[in-house]
Parts: sequence; structure tokens; C-alpha cells
Amino acid sequence: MALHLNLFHEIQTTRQLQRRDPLKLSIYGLSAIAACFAGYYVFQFGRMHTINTELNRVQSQFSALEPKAKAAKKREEEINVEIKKSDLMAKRIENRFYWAPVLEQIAQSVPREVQITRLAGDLSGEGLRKCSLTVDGISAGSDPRQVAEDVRTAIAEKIGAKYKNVTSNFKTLEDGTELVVLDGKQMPTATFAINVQLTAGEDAAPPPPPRRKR
Amino acid sequence: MAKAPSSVIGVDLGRYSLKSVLLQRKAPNRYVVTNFASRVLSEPADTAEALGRELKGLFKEMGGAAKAKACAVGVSSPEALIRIIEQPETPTHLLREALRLNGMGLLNQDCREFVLDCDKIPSTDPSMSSESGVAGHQRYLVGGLPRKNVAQIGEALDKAGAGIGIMQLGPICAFNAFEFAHEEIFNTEAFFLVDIGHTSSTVMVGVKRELILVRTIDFGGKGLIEALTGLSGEGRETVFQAMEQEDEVMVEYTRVALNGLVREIQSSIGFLEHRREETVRQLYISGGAAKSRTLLKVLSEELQLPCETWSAVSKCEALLPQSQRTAFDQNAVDLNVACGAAAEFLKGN
Repeated sequence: MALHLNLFHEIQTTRQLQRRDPLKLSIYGLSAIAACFAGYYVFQFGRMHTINTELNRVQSQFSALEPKAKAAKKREEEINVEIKKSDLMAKRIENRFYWAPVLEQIAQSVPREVQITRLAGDLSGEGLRKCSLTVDGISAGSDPRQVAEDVRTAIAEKIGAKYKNVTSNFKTLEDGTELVVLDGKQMPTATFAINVQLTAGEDAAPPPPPRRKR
Repeated sequence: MAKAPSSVIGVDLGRYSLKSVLLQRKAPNRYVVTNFASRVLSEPADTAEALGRELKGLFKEMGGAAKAKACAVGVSSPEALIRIIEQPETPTHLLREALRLNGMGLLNQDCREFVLDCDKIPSTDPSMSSESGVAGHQRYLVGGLPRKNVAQIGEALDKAGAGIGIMQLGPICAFNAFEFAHEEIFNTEAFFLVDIGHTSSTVMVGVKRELILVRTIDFGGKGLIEALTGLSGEGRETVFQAMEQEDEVMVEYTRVALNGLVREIQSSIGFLEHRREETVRQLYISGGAAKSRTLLKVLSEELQLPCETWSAVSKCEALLPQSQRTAFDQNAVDLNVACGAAAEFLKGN
């Protein structure tokens, strides 16, 4: 076209400037950022609300369970005490030393020429227990010392068959001053005291080896 | 990059009538008018609301075609400013700023309240580029409208729901429309355009693409009818009827009434022939009054030159509903400004 005029140019320029107005664009940008923050806030608020609800629920649950837990703990302590007592009792029962077999074997080892006047026993140690037995008596016979020796040997053999580390020693062996009638004959006597040592039970389990450090 | 629009609404925004055409570009040189509307205003729409209402009504007559379409507006206003100035070769955007800042110096008029735009007038003869003879000077067309009018029209278009494309002055639209309709004459001859409006008429003289003269004459259709009713003592309808019948007395009255216009046209022809060694062979008349055969006959006789009407839409194909065909043919002479604005917008894009 030959001639071109546009009297709208001012309005169009103004509108174009308004469209590209940095302040307006900044406001749009900031509004968008603010909207994002608001959205994030709402999201976090909702999340916090959910967490608080969960916290309240757990707290109420905890409040409901706390007395029960205390009671359970108290009960646990009581039961532990009971268990300890029971264990102790069981241990004591299990670790008992049975004197009867020992006495039976001693009785079997004593001949008719010997009279036991005193019997004392002592037990020491846990697990592997050391038993000390003192047998006092009077032996009679043509050789009362030999009779006493036979008794000592017999006791050692008899008990040694069943127990470990059995030792049998005379603490004292003396000729007696009295005479006794045996089978219609007067015979000399000897007084003796035999100390029998033996070991009963089993060794306690060794402690576990320390863990090797890397 | 935005796609160039292929259709536009050209609006002729006169003080007493509004006209519009919906022009589509189908091919580089193929234009189609798919709709048109014309609306006569009982009184000038002086507010944006009133003008917006009228524009809305106009677009409604076009079947709501204005929705989401750009508008190319041609404004005819007595307050419009049209000047041809001579300046050293200056880019138009700089000259536009210079006019805005120093209107008094360049136009001898205070233009602070005007929206101005300018364009270089193409010259076919380099030796004649400057009438003042100053070497290196170019002729520029300067057009302007009061800023409040521009804002009012912009607001009215917004209210009517149409997008703003361009706003051109009515006479320049008619000049461009003539190029669109009669390209060969526009490029090779001297041509004389007379657009008879309601209260004023515009005379445009060009030679081989170059705009030589633009003048506004305070005589229009309203003045003609008032003169005829005054001379004959008859009513408007009787005057119209007598003119249609080419009543001898009425023809004589018309001759008397057109005396002033004929004198102004003769002086403009004289101006052209004095400045350029060119002869005007024919006058091209447009506007509402140009529909009258009597008026054309009287002008031809008085000026001793053939006067004929011309229509820019004759260059376009008309794809209109059958009901609009007759009205379109009758109003074709009146649609030059609207068609020129639309064609300028489509060609400019």
C-alpha cells in the first residue's frame, strides 16, 4: 500500500509495555513464588497436623499402657526374684552331696574287728566339691594296726571306685590301752583316725574366650 | 513468530455512519468480502460507551464476526490532521518522535494533544521529490487525531469485543483503496478522488503513486440536501425523488448547490496542473451522495470532465448471502474507506 499510518501506535506501545512491565512481571513471579510457599506451607501444615494427630494417638496409647507397663515391670521384678530363688533352690538341690552312698561303702569296708567311734564329714567348694571325711575308730585283732591299715585301704578302694582323687591317710594310729574279747579271746586294740579326701561333682564351665578385636 | 491474519474487519468510522466489511485474503491477489454492515447514526457518538454500543450493533449485523478478529479502522473526523511536510530523509519512527516533541516547529501547530504518525510519500520522479526544490528533501505524509478521540475509539472497540489492528485516517484509507481497486491508473496516471461525506468532502489528488494534495471541503451530503430543500422549498423525500427522476428544476438547483464544491475541485485541479505537468482525465467520486446520477451528471457538466463512481470492493469477490447481495451492490460505493483500511492491514501483514 502506498501510505501507511497507524494512529493506534501509542495505545499498542502502551499495551505492549504494560504486557512486558518488569514490575508487573516481578509481581507475577513473586506471586507465583508466594503461591508456591503458601502451597508448601499448607502441605507442611497438613503434614504437621497428621504428625500431631499421630503423636496424640501414640501419647494416649502410651498413657493407657504406662500403668500396665509399670505393673508389668514390678511383676517382672517379682518374678525375677522368684526365678532367682527357684534357681538357687534348684541349684542347691542339684548340687547336693549324697552322703548315704559314701557311708554305705564305708560301712561295707569296715570288718567285725573294727568299731567306728566317730564319723565326721565336711564339704567345701562349688561345682567340683572337695569332701573331707574323718573316720575315728578302734580296731582289734592280733595285729590291730594291720586291721586298721586294712580298713583304711578298703575304704580307699571302695570309695575310689566311685569318686575321684580319693586319698585315705591316717591322722592318728595308736595302740590302745584296752583289751577286748573277740570270739572268746582277749585281743589288743588300736585307735585310729583316718582322713579320707575325695572329689565329687564336675568342674564349672570355663568362661567364654574374650572376643577378638578387629 | 505470530501467524499473519488472513482476515480482518475494515471499519469506516464516520461521524454519522459506520460501515464495515469482513475481508479475507485467499491468495496474494485474491480478496473475498464475506460480510458487510452499514449503520446510520442519528447523532454523533461522542462517548466511548455510545460508540462501543454502535460498534457492537454493527458487528452484530455482521453475524458476530468481530469476535477475536482484528479491526482496521478508518476514521473520518473534522478534527483529523493531515499534512504533507518536507524533511530531509528521516526514518519514520524518528520523524514520529520529532513530530511529537516539536509539532509546533514542523507543522506550525500545537500537536501535544494529538497522536501523530507519518509515512514517506513515494516519489516516482526524483527531481520532483521536493516541491521547495531543496536537495535531498523528501515529502512525508503526517496524519493525526486528538489523543482523546484515539483513546475513545480504542475503548469503544474494546467494549465491542474487537481487537485493535490499525487506525488510519479515512481519506488515506480511500487513497489506498483506490490503489487497491485501480492499480494501473494509480501507478501510471494522475487521478483525482472526491469522497463526499455527510458534512464535508475530501479531495485527494495523486500522480503516479504519489499523493500530491489532500483537502477537506466543508460541503457534504447534508449541506447538499439542505441547500436543495432550501432552494426548492420541498421536503427531503421530494428532493430525493426529484433527483432520482432527474427533474430539470432540481438539476438546476443541484448545479447551484454544488457550485462551491465545483469551484474547490477546479482550484485543486488547477493546483495539480500548475505544479505538475499532468492532466486530470477523470474524476473518481465516492461517498453516499455519489449514488445520485444527477450529482454525477452535474459535476461532469460543470467540471467538463467525466465523473464516475468507483468501488474498492469491485476488486474483491463477494461471498455474501443472497439477502445481502442487493444491499451490498447499493452500498459498494460507500465501502471504500472500510475496504481500504482492511486491505492495507492485510497487505501490511
